[in-house]
Amino acid sequence: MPRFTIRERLDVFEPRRLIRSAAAEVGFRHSCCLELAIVVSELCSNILKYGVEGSIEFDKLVDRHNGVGLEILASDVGPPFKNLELALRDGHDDRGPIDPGSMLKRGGLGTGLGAVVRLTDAFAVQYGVGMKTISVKRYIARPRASTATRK
Amino acid sequence: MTTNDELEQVRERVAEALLLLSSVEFGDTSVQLRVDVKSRHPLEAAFNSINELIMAFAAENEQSNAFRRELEGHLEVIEKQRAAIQELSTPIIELWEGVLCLPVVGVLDTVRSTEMTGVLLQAIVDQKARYAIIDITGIEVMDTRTVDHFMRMARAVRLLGAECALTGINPHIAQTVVQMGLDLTDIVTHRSLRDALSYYVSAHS
Repeated sequence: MPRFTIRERLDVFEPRRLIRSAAAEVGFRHSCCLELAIVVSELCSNILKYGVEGSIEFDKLVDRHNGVGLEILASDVGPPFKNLELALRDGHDDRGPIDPGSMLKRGGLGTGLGAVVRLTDAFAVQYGVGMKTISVKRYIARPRASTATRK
Repeated sequence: MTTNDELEQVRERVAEALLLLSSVEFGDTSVQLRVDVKSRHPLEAAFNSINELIMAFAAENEQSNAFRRELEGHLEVIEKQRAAIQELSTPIIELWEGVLCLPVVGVLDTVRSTEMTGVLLQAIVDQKARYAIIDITGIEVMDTRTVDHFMRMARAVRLLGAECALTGINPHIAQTVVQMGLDLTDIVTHRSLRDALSYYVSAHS
């Protein structure tokens, strides 16, 4: 399982590039590979924005019910989510709604995790000592329909 | 008393040597010990090898300085490339007088689309542009929220007194826009960047 340390914006390019080839190898369609690149990108942005620093890992996944897919783990040393449900809601972070006027300054729309949820099939957060790990899974045959645009 | 004198002399010379070594320690590697003791004097060999050591140290020092300069040069290049990448990820091109184009290619995430908004709106103000064309031919997949954000960006451009057109929308993104029920009343679209440009140029020539 390749592991990428995420400390600054330039660190995002490598995992984002490699997830596409990894996804293609597992058997995802081209457009799905691009969607997974968006997922990795959003997870990395989140690490940099809230988690100080962390890492991205991904690996092939074989599930008895859902078949073949890819699992992506994003760990960071940032604080736990104050309110996960809020954080996943578009236009929010884990504390509440984001002021639209501050979006340019904070460099995001507050829809990153929402996009991650939309583009994947399973989302979970595990907490460790001084760290948290977001785990997302995406299957080739999606258990539910994607709401994202697809080719 | 000769032995005492000699001993005193040796002491002086050793002190001198230590003093010189301390200046080497502070980086002055151009110094050398005087070797004017009697031939076959025990200090002669010692002083000679100290001098050799200082010279070797000077050479090493010079080399490591060269490496450091080289490394600093590399770091500078990396810094410049980083700035270039940043800039290239949101290029704004003036296609025609008063017509700006923002070509979007690659992976489009929320951070990048926010950045694009900031850069585009600022460029419209700075360059007094009348038209802005956002070309998304290079984007195959977008999250639904990002599509929504692009529509909002087009409206923000209009608020600045410029016209905004979206070009190169692929069928699947078009489908999402409609399915999401986004308001399209004030969104101008053209099939391609070329169409949009020829429209603006002919309308204002």
